[in-house]
Amino acid sequence: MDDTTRRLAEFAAGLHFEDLPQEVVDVAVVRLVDSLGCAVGGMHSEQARISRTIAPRLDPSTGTLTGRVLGSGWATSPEHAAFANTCMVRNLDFNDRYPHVHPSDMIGGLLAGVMAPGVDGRGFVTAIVAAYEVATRIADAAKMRQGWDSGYAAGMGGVAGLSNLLGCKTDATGEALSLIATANVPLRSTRAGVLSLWKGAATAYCMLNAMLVTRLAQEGMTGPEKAIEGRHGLWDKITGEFELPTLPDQDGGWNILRTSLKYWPVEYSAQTAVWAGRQLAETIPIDRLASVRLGAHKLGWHEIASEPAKWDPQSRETADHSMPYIFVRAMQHGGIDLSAFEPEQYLDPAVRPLMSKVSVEPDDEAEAAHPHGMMLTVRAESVDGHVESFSIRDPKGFWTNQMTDPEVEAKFHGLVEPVYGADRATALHSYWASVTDHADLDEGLSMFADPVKPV
Amino acid sequence: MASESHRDEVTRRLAEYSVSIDGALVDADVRKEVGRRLIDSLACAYGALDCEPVAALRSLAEERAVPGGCSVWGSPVASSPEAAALANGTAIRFLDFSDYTTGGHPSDNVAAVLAACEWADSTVDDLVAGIVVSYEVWGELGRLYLRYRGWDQGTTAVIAAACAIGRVLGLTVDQLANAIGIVATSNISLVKLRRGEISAWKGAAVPYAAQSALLVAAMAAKGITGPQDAFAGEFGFFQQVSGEFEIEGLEPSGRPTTVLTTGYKHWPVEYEAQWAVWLAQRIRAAVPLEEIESLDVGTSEWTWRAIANDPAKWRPTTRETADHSLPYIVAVALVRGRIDSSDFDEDQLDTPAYVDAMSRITVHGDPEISAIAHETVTFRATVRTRAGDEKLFEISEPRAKSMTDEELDEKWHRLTGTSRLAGRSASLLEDLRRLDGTQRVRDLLTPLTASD
Repeated sequence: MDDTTRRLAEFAAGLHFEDLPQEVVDVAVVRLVDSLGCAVGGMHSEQARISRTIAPRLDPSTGTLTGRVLGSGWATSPEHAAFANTCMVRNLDFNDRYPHVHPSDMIGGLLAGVMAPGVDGRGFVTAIVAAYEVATRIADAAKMRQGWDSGYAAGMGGVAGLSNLLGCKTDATGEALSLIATANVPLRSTRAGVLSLWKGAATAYCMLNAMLVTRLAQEGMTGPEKAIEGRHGLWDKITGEFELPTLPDQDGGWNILRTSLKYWPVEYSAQTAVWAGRQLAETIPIDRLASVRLGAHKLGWHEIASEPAKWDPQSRETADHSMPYIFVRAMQHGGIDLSAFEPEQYLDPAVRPLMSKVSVEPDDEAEAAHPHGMMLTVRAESVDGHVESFSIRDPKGFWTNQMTDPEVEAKFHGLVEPVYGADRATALHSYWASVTDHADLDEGLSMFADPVKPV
Repeated sequence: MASESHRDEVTRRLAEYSVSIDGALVDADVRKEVGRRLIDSLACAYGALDCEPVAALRSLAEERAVPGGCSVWGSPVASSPEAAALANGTAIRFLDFSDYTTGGHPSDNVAAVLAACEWADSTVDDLVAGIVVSYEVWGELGRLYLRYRGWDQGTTAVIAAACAIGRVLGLTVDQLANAIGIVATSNISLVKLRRGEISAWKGAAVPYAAQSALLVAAMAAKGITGPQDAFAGEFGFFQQVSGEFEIEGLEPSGRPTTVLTTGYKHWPVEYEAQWAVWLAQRIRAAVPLEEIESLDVGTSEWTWRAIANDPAKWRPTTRETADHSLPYIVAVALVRGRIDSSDFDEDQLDTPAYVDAMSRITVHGDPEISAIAHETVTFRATVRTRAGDEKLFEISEPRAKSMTDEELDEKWHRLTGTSRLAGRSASLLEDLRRLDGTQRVRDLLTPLTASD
């Protein structure tokens, strides 16, 4: 086992609830609640439907570790549950964010492990923190060489969290990390060009694999030696050499405090675009707009505004990753909600001429602020020559501008009520917001069975 | 969503070829060879059923008990297709006795294809189609030699598995193109697992890749869409993994080649090392071991790099290192005159006679041998005797090593004979020789499930 793998494994296997400062526990519980809300919101998505259809129904009398797909009352393999649950959490692209990773994708995978014997609410929260701390550090350290997908960081973090949850020792955790580091590296092409349904399932697939390799390692499977640092290993082939940032067990601080929630259901770099569209519409209504130039940090520009497909969204996945579309919708409606991503909305011919007024380019100031801050510059001109210039910084939900508890709860209710009704939404929120009080989580999972809006 | 017309050329060719193969229409000699591949693969599985990693994967599959699911060989429990394919696939591969061609062991996909057939309740004709597709796509992609670029066999194995499973499940060209797009972009595996001290993962890694294709193909049948230009697109397979290539074979309904020419293993060692065993037998017949002062073996640079370039090969501590250690294999063959799977049990690895023989063996890569290595396997040994004589031995044969029906039967009986499932293996052998196209694959495999 190389040094990087060992440090990750020692941290993940050794993290206990007692090690967590209260502030970290609170933030982790908020992320859990937020993820569950997103999962319910994504429960009726195509990816979730497909993943439920193919999940085999296990004979519950034989399994020692079975998973449960949220919204179902039956047991399936933990891998299928990890996949289906993560598809749901991720589907709306409304879940949290850290540069280069959506850490709460991992919560979908971890949920598939909570049926394991001996897992309680505190253990679950501890595993979430272990997953976040590892995934964010891999994302920070491994500035992925262009062309590789960051689902990889979620896979590493997922293994860390699942190993912690299932009680793996350091050695088994290290073997599982060695396996996930080398066995299923995803390509970036899943997020390039016209996006397919797989884009919303790619990280779920990483969590499926994280579950499988963790169970394999727990049963004694050994992985490649020096998987990260050795010849033909991770550094050599995928990331280049990196220095792993100090972990919390060596006083490295808690990265989970630096993760951001989404206030609007759009790609993170577009959060600022929604606020910008709202603000601009106050002085220049969209029917008076001649042109607007948005200046984004480079990654944001690259992800959601650098190719012609973003000006002509043909799929939901492209539309919620299109800065021009999101900006125009926000100007029209004063904000954005999920209805913007229905086909009749993003395919509407009338929106195309409006989008053509929007140009986006990388901006030096926004780039300098990123990733510790988030900024978008706006320079607009009306048809009568009026010029408006301003910038948006650190949108609500960004880690330096956290959403309040009532805002988080309102987001949860907004997502859950249409599927479960107001009463069950309240009960679910109450149960999961107090997750650390529960000795086992079976009841909490069962509360998701039989949604009012059937799946 | 993605539509057929936008697929890149490689995706389109793979998908069109795969759906074109009809098991009932393949030539009789191809069909017979498919049966022989299955006999060889399942013989290997019998021999490994109770090896430790295989037993562990079996219990993982039993944990995922699915009523009406797929057979888990050696177990009474039926499981999810993925878990069954992983356990069964690792059983086929574990002894490293299964067939071999460029790009690895195509039989690594056999268990996943069988699981797909069971899951879909398919007939033997569908199985024949699936095996043909898996081997042919494997052969087509194997010529990319991705391991030289640091990528492991699973990277292309999973594409062949998706094509075969898609054929078994009856996917349309467009559905299969989605599955291909997904597996080609989500399963890049690193050859790291075959470097340095090798772990048990070596035997499970490609079956692990293959089982992924079951999930993805099932999703494609239900409507999942994948990247359209998985090979040619931005950040796609060409750019990140393989460089540009074209499909050269795989004409729809064309005559198979890979399934007819893949080499069989006569000894349970790394493929080229078989010839080292035969060479060692000749040396042993000519020079008593105690008279050998030193033995220098020349081989291709590829073989040297794969099984003899690392000091760890001279002191193997795991089965996986030992059966890929040229010095260990030659040492055992010099001492015993043959080599068996049990010679790689971990309590055998420090046998003093083997350690002593290894200490006299050196290996070098020979550019002259490398120049012809694509077609021919060559080993040249220079033996120096304690009396000061020098003797040369050489073996050089075509790389594709077949097996007669009699040799294959002998291998079957050798590997099934000591298995706890030996009792019902004779009827399975009969079925595999006959390959009745209408037989259900579930029924075919019943003898591999344990009744207790």
